[in-house]
Amino acid sequence: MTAVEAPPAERVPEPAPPPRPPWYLRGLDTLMARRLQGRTVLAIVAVVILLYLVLAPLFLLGSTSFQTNNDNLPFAKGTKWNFANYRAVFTHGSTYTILGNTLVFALGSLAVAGVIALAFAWLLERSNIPCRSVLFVLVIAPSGMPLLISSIAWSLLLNPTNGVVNQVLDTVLGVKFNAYSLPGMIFVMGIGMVPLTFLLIVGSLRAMNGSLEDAATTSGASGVTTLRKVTLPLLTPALLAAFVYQFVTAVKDFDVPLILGLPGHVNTLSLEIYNNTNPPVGVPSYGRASTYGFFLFLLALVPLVVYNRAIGSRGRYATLSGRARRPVRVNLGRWRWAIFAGCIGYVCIALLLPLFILVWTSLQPFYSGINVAAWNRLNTAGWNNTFNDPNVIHAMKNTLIVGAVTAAVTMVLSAFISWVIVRARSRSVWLLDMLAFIPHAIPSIVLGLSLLLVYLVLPVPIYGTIWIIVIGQATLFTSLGTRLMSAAFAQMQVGLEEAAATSGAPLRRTWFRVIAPLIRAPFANGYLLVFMASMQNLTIPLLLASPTNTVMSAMIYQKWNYGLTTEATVMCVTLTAITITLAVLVRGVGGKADV
Amino acid sequence: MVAAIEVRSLHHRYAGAGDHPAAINDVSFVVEENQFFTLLGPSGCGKTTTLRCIAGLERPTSGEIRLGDVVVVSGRHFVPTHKRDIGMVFQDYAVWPHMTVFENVAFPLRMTSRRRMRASELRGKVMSTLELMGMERFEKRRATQLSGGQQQRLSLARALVREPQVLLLDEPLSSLDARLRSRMRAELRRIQRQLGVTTVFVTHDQVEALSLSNMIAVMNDGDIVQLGRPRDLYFRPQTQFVGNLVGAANLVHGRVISVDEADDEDGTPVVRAATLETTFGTLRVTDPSAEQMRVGAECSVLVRPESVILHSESPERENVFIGRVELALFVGEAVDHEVSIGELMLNARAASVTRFRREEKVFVELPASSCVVFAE
Ligand SMILES: Nc1ncnc2c1ncn2[C@@H]1O[C@H](COP(=O)(O)OP(=O)(O)O)[C@@H](O)[C@H]1O
Ligand SMILES: [Mg+2]
Repeated sequence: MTAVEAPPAERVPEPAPPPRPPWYLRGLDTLMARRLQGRTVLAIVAVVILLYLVLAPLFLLGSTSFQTNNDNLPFAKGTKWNFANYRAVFTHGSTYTILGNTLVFALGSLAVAGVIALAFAWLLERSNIPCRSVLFVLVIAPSGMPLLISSIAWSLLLNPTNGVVNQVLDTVLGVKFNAYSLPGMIFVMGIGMVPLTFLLIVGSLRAMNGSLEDAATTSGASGVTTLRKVTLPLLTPALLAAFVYQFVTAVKDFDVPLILGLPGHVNTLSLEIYNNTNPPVGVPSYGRASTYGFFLFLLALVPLVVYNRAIGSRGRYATLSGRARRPVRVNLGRWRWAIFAGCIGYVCIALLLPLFILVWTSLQPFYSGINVAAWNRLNTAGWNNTFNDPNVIHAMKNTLIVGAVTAAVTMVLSAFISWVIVRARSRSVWLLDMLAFIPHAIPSIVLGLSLLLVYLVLPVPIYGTIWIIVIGQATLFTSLGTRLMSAAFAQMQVGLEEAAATSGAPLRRTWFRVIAPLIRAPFANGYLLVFMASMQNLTIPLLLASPTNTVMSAMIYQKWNYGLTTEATVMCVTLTAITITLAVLVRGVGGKADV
Repeated sequence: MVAAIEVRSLHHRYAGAGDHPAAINDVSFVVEENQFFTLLGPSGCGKTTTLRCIAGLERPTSGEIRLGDVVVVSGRHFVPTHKRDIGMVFQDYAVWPHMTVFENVAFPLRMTSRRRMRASELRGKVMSTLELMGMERFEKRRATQLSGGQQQRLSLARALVREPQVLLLDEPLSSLDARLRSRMRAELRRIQRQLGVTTVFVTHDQVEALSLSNMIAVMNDGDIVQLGRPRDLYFRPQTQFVGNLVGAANLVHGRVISVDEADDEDGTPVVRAATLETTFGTLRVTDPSAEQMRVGAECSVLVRPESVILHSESPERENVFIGRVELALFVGEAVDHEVSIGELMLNARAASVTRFRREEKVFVELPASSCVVFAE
């Protein structure tokens, strides 16, 4: 046998590395070298689609904010490029009030949601509170109610004129709350953010290996010391992640300011954008709106980017085995049932009270609080009228079509993008990673406005159709989709795909025969989540509304705005029922996640 | 005849590895037809990277790879994995959980054949491969309903079913428990010899490497440090690193005091021999590699524990030293001793019938021909 070759003596210790091409040729070089590889084609297609979906609107938003003209339309005749909009915005005193309101609103709701969610997470994961699985479902159940609808419900409960809770408080204590105020908005937003905050915290608490805490206990640390020295420090990155995420959620929110802030004259950035695009009188001022939009975008983007930098890109997709053992649960002793009763009390406030008032109102010819006269007026005429209205039926059809198509487009796109992000080992993946992440930082009001501008300018005839809503929502939900699918790919052994390649399967067949069947469960789960998010989304359909593309959420707002309380609440109850059903389905599919 | 695999000046640096050194530096080797070729080395030395380059799962930074007479990597030219005539077994099996055993094995055939293979022909091929692995009973099972060892066989069946030119195995036995591992080891050898398929095997386990291979390439830090047959590596390692890697070893330090010629045991070849001064006396070694020894050079001597002979009475030969038994461990097939000679501690493995008690005085023989010398 002559296998021995290249004896050690002949070997060059370190071969000269190939010369590095200049930076502008590096990508090209890689590209040409790999021109036959399917994954490169996929990566390029994904980047191009994302560039179009994400950067085109942002570009138009940015450039509109530097334009002034008589028509107030982007790129209209006689456009001047200047800082006039910025000057107007910065010199106007109300801008600072608006900014202050936005920050107080976001931080306040974050505090409310954070405290409640943390308490629930600790109670359910680390204490012996009774009926844990029931409580778990009850805590996250309110997520089935969109903020638009809970804001309407709380407006019915806490408005200063005839809010039901105010009636009771006035009779008993002689005080009244005003839902149309900053504290009212903080309360509603805070309660609304509890389910997701809770899920984010409880997930990391559960994934944390209990032996770490048990090790502290066996080293002589008391329960409180363990919590302080071990549990919380270990949890800090996860808590920070959850809080940054939810802060941005609150900053971006438009539903609560629209329903509660607008009548109470509490202006936030999102509301100000809306007011400039849909002024009560006069023509829309897109330049001004874009300027505010740009601020809001930065306000959402900066915390997320800073945070991502801080934890590095590694932690983002980290998945834990879920096999971690739980530590010994803290015995609540005689407080056990009292605390449990407190939790149930919370659920009543967060879920049952709003649901009740919506159903009650939907059965009234007009809303007048709760009293004997109203009891005698209970009837289902509102339901009959609403469901006999062809416009409502049309809106329902639109909602389903938009939801189904948006979910399909989003998830297919997300699956390919995530695969490239997780599997491609190219250095240019960061671009894709960033492009898929930006939509999360684009407030939907900003995206809605930007899309409005894009399709005012671009000669694509989708303005006023449901397809513009689909495009907007698909852009918006791509970051959710890629988060889900990236987690799925990170958990899937890359060997399963490589085995297909070594068996002779080209990339296309690997996708059909191996990847697609294996990601079926997370894909279906993501599909339902996006479907749900699409139905709950108000901003995009409202900003891009036309008489023909109305969906349920937009129609609810329109009816509420015209004072058609009964019809609005009928649709609220219907939409809530649908989204809660979807939420249950998501859990069902999630349970069957492993093949 | 062309070699089955030829790897020339392979160099690979991972894209995301920052300023870490290259995963493989300059690896060259040739694997002949039907050979069982093993890449052996500690974890992280670049074995998997080399194998993945051959499979086309990595694109090397530079270098050339030929499979038979097909150049698969060379400069800009790169044949993607699915067009290479290979079969690969992954460390974690990578059997597809959404397919049955039959479907898993049928997959490569469905991918390869240009014309659609007749169902009966496909079935015949799949079943005969499964039979070879003793897996035909599980044909209809889901891959997830198999034990670790069965998944391993399935993975091997899938790699072999399309009769590839080259079989690539990445630590295929390392996820199995000890008993199963030795059984699969024997089976792997039987199947490879039976099919005569050229095989590249990656392992960090010296027993697997020595028992299975025709040829072993020992790797360290991205380089091949020695290439040879199992016996050569074991008895004549060229470096201390290789000596330690392929088996247990005692190391003794010394200084050359004289160099001369001596007859080897069987009398024919004349080799260099040397006398060394050590902390416990003079040691005589006969070693072809001692050729480069010069008087006064510092060096270390490797002796395998099973070459160390323990006597209760002095055999009156060279290289016998008086020592003391510090520890005697009966492990079944042998007795492992720890013996001290002055300051020096040596491991000695003796037949299981040997009985030395702790603290007993023994005569320790280090046969000159079993000593391997390395310059320091
Ligand atoms: N995907 C990767 N990215 C960056 N570095 C890697 C990657 N895979 C392996 N390496 C590095 O390359 C070196 C060789 O790895 P590998 O070939 O897997 O070693 P072995 O299989 O011998 O244990 C190691 O230092 C390892 O850290
Ligand atoms: Mg390896």
